[in-house]
Amino acid sequence: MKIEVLCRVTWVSLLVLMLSGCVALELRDANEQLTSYYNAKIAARQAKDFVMTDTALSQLKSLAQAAAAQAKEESDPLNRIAYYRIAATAAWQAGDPAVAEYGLAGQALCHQGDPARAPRDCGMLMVIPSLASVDEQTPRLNQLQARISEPSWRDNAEDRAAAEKIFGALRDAFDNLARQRPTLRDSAVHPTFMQGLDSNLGILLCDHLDSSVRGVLGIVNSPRLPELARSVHDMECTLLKQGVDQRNASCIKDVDPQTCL
Amino acid sequence: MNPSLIMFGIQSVVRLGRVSSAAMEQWARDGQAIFPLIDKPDFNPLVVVSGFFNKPDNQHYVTGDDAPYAAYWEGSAPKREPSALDALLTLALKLTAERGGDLERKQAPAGAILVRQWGKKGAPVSPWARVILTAGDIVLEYVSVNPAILGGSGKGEKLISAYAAQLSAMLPDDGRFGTREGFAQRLSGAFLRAGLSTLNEHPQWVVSQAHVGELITATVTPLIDAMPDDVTGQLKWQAVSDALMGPAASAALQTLAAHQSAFFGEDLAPDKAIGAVTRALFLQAAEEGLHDQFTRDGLLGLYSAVVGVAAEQPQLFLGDGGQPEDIFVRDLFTRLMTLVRDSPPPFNREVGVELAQIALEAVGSRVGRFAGGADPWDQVAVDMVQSLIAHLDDALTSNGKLSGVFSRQQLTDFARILLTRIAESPRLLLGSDKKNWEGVVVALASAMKADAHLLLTGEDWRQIVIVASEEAVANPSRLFKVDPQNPQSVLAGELLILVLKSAGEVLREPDRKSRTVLYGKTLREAMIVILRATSGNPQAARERMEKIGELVSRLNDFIASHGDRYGSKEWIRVFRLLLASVLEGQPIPALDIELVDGLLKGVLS
Repeated sequence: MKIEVLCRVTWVSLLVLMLSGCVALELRDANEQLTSYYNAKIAARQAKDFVMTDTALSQLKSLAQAAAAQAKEESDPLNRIAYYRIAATAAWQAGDPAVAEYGLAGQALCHQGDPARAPRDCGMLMVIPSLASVDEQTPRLNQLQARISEPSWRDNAEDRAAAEKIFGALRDAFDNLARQRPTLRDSAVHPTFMQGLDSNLGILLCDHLDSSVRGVLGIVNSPRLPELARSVHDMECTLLKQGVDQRNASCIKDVDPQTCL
Repeated sequence: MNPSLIMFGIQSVVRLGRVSSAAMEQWARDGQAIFPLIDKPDFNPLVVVSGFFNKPDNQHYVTGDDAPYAAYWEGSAPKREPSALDALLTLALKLTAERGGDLERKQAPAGAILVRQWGKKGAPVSPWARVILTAGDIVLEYVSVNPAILGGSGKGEKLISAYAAQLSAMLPDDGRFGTREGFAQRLSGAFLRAGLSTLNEHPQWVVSQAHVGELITATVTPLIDAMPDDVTGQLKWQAVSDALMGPAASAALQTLAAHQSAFFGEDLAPDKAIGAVTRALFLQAAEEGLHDQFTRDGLLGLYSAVVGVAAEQPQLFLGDGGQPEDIFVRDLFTRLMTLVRDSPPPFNREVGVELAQIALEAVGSRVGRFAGGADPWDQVAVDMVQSLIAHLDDALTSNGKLSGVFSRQQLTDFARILLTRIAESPRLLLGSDKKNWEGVVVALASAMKADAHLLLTGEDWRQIVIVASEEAVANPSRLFKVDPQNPQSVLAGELLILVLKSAGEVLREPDRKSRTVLYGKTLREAMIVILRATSGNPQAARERMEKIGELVSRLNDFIASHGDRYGSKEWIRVFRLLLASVLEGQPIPALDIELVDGLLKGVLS
């Protein structure tokens, strides 16, 4: 009798353990799926395999929706934040506009409690919408670059307006990210997170704004070229003052700190 | 088996399960996660070269007289020739390499970084070490600090019911609202918060659930529908909404509480109209951007004024079939914001916005009178602001000292007095005397310009503005008639200048300078007397302008010479009497003590 009862207790305990571990397993699975689909997308793009790229994007979008749905189901705020981080990252990589909503929903949870309870997840939720906004602008920038490089291209107001709009959107994104950086740097976040953030800031500043957008504004003969020069210099100074490593933002190495005073 | 042992076992299993669950979840949460890098732009040689040589440090290679590569450059871009691009690209690569960089590095593909949840500092000891905070519900949060809100009147409950019903109507039954769910909740939440605050400030407010509900629906639903599909647009839209929704909801509900009579019964038009105005505000802000406090506060200031008009005259904002029309309001916001932004200081910021608000409120509250007029009410309001700013700026610019006389409050007070009084008389704005209201502004502005010695204070001018606007409303085509041939010459202005000049002349005579009484309050009264006396007989005033000037001068001389006997009161009394006789065509009598005493005693008239 005693053995039977003990067996039952053990069985119940195993069942409870298994059930209680479900959330953790689902979360881990979702995280692994995210990495896997992301890698598939990058590999497909490098191979210029458009079918595979579409498949990866579709998988990422489905994962984003599933993770967001799961985030609403969860009762534990930290799990909800983790799911929103996965949803936002997947939506970002899928080019799904829902990234803004997922990011903001996750941020709201972070702000309701203490963001320090999940520094990486909350940090990513804070920056992902702006990074997604940059990735949304990049194809537009690429298309504009291609168009204005055509030999038959002639100066026109439409392309000028498009270039200036891209400039505005990228500058807004940079300002958002740079404004958040000190808070993130001072949080309990892992140093690799800051490396990721700084690398993204470096690409945005040096590759997008300092090089491509400047080049495009010059070609379309935009009167806002001097404004961009001032903005880029201010941004470089911001990163210098915040102590961003030059390896992550190569264009700041040429800046004279005296000009930032 | 001891039942308590069995209970202990079960509790232990449950506890173990909880601990395991928490630990496993933490492990899953805190494991490595990818942090992707953004995509780099495509490497495009023409763009890269243009970007490189448009940098201030590199421009000297291609622009300027000594630029060695100027032949390959045109305007702000490389010349469209293969040889030019080759030469400049080669130079750019070389210079970058010399500086320790690598232009071609830009072609590297995107990547990602694996990031753990925690750095060395701050990592949790165990799941038990952290306390999970419960998300605060808006109502509970508010009620905790304002418990009376849910008191016996039931108003708080009605607000909450309206909020809940509208939110529930906005969310589909299957719960799959998509990306806009959180947005809808935030916007509606702002209304609930604003509603509770309004109730706190206006305890007499008779809350109508139907109207509050309709107001939330009419306001929030179009904002959700207008949310863009792209990420950049959504971020901008959400940022604008987060910045404006609270104050806008507050203004809308304050209007609802302050204009209760407009919100009775089943007529929901005012709510729809306010919804249209709110949507216009957001669209305008999204287009304009909220880069500075001025834009935000300016738009909200104009919004508050227009919402008041919408509550009382909803039909102005509703098109055929009672459907809201926000294009008209956006156009109005654009015109006023552009007008303020393009105005000279100090009218290009808060003062200008306040003037615009005052004009909207003044004209909007009497909007029924503009029906059928040649100019719609909104155009009248814009014209009034434009004219007022132009003339006040002219006065402030021409008489630089004036800016120290007027406080911001006084400037807006002038505008409020003038515009409110003027709007009371549609004849001034629409009828045969149309545009004569401008004569009031011209007259006052030209007089202000003439006060070179700052003989009047801001408060003195305020009193004069009150009388001038009263007289203008009573007799618009008399003292303030604008001559189309000479729009800067208005009789009232000439008369005021006459008195000011005479007062100023005394100051140039050192022996009488210290004895004159014609400044400050006395001068103000003299100007008021002249406005009152001449408004009934402008023809006589124009014909005897010279005599009036002479009277002021002689009276000034006389009182200054008899400072020990006469003062300010005597000046005004004698002036009032003699001015009447001059206007009747009588000659100015020789001023002596006998005459003046007689006038003061009422023996002479």
